[in-house]
Amino acid sequence: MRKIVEMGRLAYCVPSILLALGFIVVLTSLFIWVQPSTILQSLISREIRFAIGLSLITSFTVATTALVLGVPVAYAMARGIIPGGRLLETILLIPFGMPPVAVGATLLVFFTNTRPGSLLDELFRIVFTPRGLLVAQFFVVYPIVLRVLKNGFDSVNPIYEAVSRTLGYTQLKTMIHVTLPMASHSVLSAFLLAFIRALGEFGASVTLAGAIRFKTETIPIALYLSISGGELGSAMALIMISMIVAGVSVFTLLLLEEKSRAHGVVRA
Amino acid sequence: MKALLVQDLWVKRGKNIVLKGVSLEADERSILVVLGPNAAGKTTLLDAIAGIVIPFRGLIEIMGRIVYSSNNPKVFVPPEKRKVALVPQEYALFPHMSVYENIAFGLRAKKLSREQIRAKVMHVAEILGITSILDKRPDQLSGGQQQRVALARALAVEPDLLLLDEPFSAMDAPTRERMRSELKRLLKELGITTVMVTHSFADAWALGDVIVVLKDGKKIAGAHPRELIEKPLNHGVAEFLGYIVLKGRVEHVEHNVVILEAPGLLALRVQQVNTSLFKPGSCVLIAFRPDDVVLSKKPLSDVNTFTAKIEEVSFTRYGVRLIIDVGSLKLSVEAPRGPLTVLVGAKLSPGDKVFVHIPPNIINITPCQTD
Repeated sequence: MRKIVEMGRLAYCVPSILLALGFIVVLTSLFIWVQPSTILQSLISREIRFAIGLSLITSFTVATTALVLGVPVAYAMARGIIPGGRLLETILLIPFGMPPVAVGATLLVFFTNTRPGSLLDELFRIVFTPRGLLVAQFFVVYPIVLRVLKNGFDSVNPIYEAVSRTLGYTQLKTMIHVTLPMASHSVLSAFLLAFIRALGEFGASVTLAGAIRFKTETIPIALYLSISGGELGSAMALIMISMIVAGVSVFTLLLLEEKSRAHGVVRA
Repeated sequence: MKALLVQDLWVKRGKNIVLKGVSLEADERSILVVLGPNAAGKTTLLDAIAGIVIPFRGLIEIMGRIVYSSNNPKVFVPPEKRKVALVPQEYALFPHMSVYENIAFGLRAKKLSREQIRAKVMHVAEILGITSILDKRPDQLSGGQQQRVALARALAVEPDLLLLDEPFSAMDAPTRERMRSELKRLLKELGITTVMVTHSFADAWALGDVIVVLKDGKKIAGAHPRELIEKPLNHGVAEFLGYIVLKGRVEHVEHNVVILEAPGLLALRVQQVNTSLFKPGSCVLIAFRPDDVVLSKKPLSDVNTFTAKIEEVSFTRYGVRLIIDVGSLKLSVEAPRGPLTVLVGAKLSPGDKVFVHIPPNIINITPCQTD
């Protein structure tokens, strides 16, 4: 019996360990090429610091905006408040299934070739500007936020809201005091996933905002510019940074998820 | 003034009509129990009273105030303004709050001062005996404690109407029995008008001042518990209450006695005051409670005594359930172990022969066409 249990454990452990090792080998392989001193030198360059700063600012802004605009829509969809909710959900999730370059190209066409788009571009100067980065990243990130939030709201039994209503809370106050705290793990997950995805966003951003040094140069765009310019040191530094940022973000995400599970969103 | 008045209430859930013209009322300080099987529309009724679902026709009045009316002028008072408190089946204690915060939740909406909230929480917690668990989280509580906290949270806001949805369903049998009597004592002490829905007969009879029976979204009976159990108003109710319901034929009518023929029960005598309703040859519906049937090894009486064979024996908590074969009729009878042992003997096995006596005064009959 014990032997069977141990064999079962092996069947899970072996592929997990092999995959983890495989990922480590792949992720670190690039660093064999370049001297650590070259990487350190690149890290203190103005351009790379600009790219890191811009990436963090745009990712944070986009993740926050997507969250703020995602909460009411996801809640309405989860509770069936809007008629034709499924159609709305389908429309809002379309960019999720599109190649990011296609999203960027669609946005570019909208802002340059349509009357409302051109008007918006004239007013806010979106195309080939840092604002374009925000718009492009938003379109890529919003469907993810919406999906995660809706799942979170779905997991909250509406009976909690009903109880809150009878105890004197309006629908909005119930949302603030009951639904959002009970779905807090999903809200945090949505934010972090949006942040991570926005940090790595390249296709839509480069198409709408362009790859302009010291202007629309996020980490992925700087990486693209470095590789195409043959600056391997800078490229390696940027890869290392994106790996560290992704690692820290994912680890935080997992910690938060574990914490919210420990606090127990438990049905009494 | 009635504490609750529901008139001709119709409610839809999706495409299904769940409540079909339900009317009921509850006096102040009384406990109204809505009894019914699953999918009878019990929870929907509570939701409609609470304002969680919007009916499409009817009237709901709480303490003389119209909270819903489909007539002109149309009225819909939202849940937060109805002064009702709901204790759902799952208790729904907020998992991100302590017991104290759960109880204080409704008071915070009333914008009371911190001291006032504390005083009220402590008062309710004392009544319910939960002062020692105020710092705990809901997932650290037992089923009984969770129920008390949910009740405390509802009672803290001093509602006009307390709505309880299957309050004992998550409890084991001994806790359930204890909590049943505790809850009744508490509700009576506080004098709070309560509407409780349940599918449990025991809960209904233990707590209800009035019992309303709901089936397929319709009210099929409403009466005081004793009235309902002694003489169910119609055979639909009788069937739901677990009566044995048979179709028979009137053989002849004597002074205050109707003699019937039913499958397997020849010459069944029924004591009946109003014999004029029953003409020889006419169809009748016969109903009697299985626990009123008397089993014995020797015939106990000359009337309504039939020979039968035991088909199945199974033990229940306090008694024995027997499936017995009386002619072409199969009866499922439950009897307390003590009296059964005295009358039939300690050992019962399938195949044993027994006598079945159905006392004439426990049988309800109605003409077929009136049901």
